[in-house]
Amino acid sequence: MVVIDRVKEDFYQRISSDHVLVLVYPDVDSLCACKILQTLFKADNTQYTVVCVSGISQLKTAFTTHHDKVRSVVLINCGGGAKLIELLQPEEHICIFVVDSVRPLELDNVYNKGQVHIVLREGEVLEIPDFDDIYDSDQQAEEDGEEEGEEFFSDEEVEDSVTGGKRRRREGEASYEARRKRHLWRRKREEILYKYSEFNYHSTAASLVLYELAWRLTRDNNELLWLAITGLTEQLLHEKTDREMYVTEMHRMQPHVLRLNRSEEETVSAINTMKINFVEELRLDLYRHWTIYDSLCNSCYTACKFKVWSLKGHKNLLEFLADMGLPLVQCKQRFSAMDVQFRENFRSWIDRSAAKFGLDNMAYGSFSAQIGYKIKLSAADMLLSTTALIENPEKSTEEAFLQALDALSWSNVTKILAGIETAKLQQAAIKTHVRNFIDTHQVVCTGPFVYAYVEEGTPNMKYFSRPLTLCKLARFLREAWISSNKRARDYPFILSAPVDLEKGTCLVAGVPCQTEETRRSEFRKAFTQAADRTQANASFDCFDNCVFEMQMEDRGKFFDALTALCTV
Amino acid sequence: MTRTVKTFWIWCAMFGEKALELVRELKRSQDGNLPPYNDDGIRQVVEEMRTLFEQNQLEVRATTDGERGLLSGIQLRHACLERNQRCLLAYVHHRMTRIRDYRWQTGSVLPPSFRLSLCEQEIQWFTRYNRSLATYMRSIAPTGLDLTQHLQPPKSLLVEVRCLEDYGEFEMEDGTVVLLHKNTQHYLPRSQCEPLIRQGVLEHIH
Repeated sequence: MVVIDRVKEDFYQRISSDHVLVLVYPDVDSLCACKILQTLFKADNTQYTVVCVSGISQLKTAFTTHHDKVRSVVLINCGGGAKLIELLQPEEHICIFVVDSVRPLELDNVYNKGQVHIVLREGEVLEIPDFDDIYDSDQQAEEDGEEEGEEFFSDEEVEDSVTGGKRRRREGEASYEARRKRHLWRRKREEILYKYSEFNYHSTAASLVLYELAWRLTRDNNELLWLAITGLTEQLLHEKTDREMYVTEMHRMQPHVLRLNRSEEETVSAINTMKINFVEELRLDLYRHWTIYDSLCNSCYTACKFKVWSLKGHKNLLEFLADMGLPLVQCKQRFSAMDVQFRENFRSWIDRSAAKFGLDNMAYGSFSAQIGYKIKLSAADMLLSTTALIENPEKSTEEAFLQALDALSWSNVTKILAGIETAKLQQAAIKTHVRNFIDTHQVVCTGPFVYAYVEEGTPNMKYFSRPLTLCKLARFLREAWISSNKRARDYPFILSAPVDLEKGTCLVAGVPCQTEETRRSEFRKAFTQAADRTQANASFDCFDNCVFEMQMEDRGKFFDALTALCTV
Repeated sequence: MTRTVKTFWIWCAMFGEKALELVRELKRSQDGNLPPYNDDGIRQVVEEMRTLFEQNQLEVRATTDGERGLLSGIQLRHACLERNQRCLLAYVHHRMTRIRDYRWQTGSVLPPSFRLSLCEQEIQWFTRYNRSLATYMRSIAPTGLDLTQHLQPPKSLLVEVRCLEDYGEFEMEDGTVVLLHKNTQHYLPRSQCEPLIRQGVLEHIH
């Protein structure tokens, strides 16, 4: 059953009287959504339990251990694409609510009556096939009829009475007609299902859905709005949705920002409250917390445009800085320590010089938040910091998840700042890797796609054994590769990195090609088919459709099969 | 004169030592358990005080009879007596405070390990304290209010806690059972979480 219109009554009010189990996938959007939900629960004194699940097996374990203690379960960004009733086998009284941005949603979940509810934003339309095209209620009766007919046939085969023969013929025709119709229906159903599940894409972020719920309950405030904005920014910067959709969503957020951050001249609000405003953000990661030089060298967009790993590219970068009028000494200092005139004019200078050097899409619309005089963060900063905290290589996934959840509340802003430092290390590691890859020509372009391996034993390998960072590396590498090989622009990019040296498993991530406007990817289908063909030991456990795990020795066969599949 | 003064000073260095030793013993054990009641030490100090007092009595009688030059000795011994008294009172008072804090932190039942460190009178004091605390708590509200449950006034009914180790199932007063698995976060009633927080199984998240 799909819950659209009455999010408040059908979803929130049903769960707020019980102890709720919240199962969350460890990525930024889900974390933000979880935090919003926690705030709502706290306001209503609803007891809850939060558990981090990064894959289908973990979802099942968490559910089976907790299920006899709760009546409502909320799944955030996990389980939308899996057959929940089959997998979890919940009891009659348990209600499962799914807030998932992944599409397509599993049809069994959508058409389930009573136990599984999908929570959508108001006005969202699900493109799903009709119920009758997929589920045939007459199917059972017809099957019985067919069996009877066949039995009748075999019994009567020996007898050869005339009446028996006529009846046989009539029944034979009828059942033949029925069987033909059923066969056609089944063929059509398979086609529909194939087309439905062919492409994976993302729809509204879970944090936006839950923010709207908070708004309808009139419990929204700047903190929740900021979380929603972070979730939305993830969708853009982690390439889950395209630019257009991001801009549309941003326009939807604008009224909320304006409403909650009304600046009137007469009343001066307290300095310690959070204020959000709209900014034109540059595609320079963390430049306000780093040096300009480092930020230019380590941000995906600028590093690839300038090709900073080559000597010529480096010189180009220095020329760019000179053109802007920034002395190199200043650029190598922390942004907050630069001279005032450079800091203030930086934006206008970079806008002016960017076009000259081919940096067209340097700016995009975003938001920034400020508390007091000291702390000012843009949405991108927040995103990078939270990603770094979630995928902290020194901690286990669950611990890192809880730390990141803590860091999202503004009373713990020091944790976000610490996360920014970790993010810087991560970015630098990614860029070093990319440079290694390009220098050693490890990127292979095989017809339908481009792929590369992260070798075992590379330094900083621990960063890349987690899905989000691996995808980031893949995107960076793809951009870098495309900057030198324009023809590779249309090919998707697949990257593999070892994740567990003892078990010999590796993580494989795919990023769609750059020209793909709508960000629809067919990775899940392609990967599953290739794995089936080669009988590779692969586990499609992860909820992220572009990432899966498999044994390292099967890698070569897998890629060969994938090539064969894609060239067909 | 110099030799007598010197003898006096050496003599005085021996006074008050044992009392100080008692106080030092308590200070050393502030982070750990309460040490057993130092009966021996107290007896020695009291002995010392009695010796000093008797000597003082003799000299006071001698002075009233007319002997001179004894005043400084009397004053010195009196100061030592006062010092010893102060140390003894500090000792007893500190122990009393520790036992009282124990009641507020842990509860009205004395485990045998703690009981061993207390002397008879301290145990009796504890029982009487318990009784008067209980009478007071009963008198505040019609049903009685357990003041020792929250050492700071609670700000909310439910608290956010994180589970630090695998505890297993935890049944709450209203019957709901929560599974306390490592690295899960919960929002549960404060009164039922407090003992687990004190034990270290749960961690309070602000």
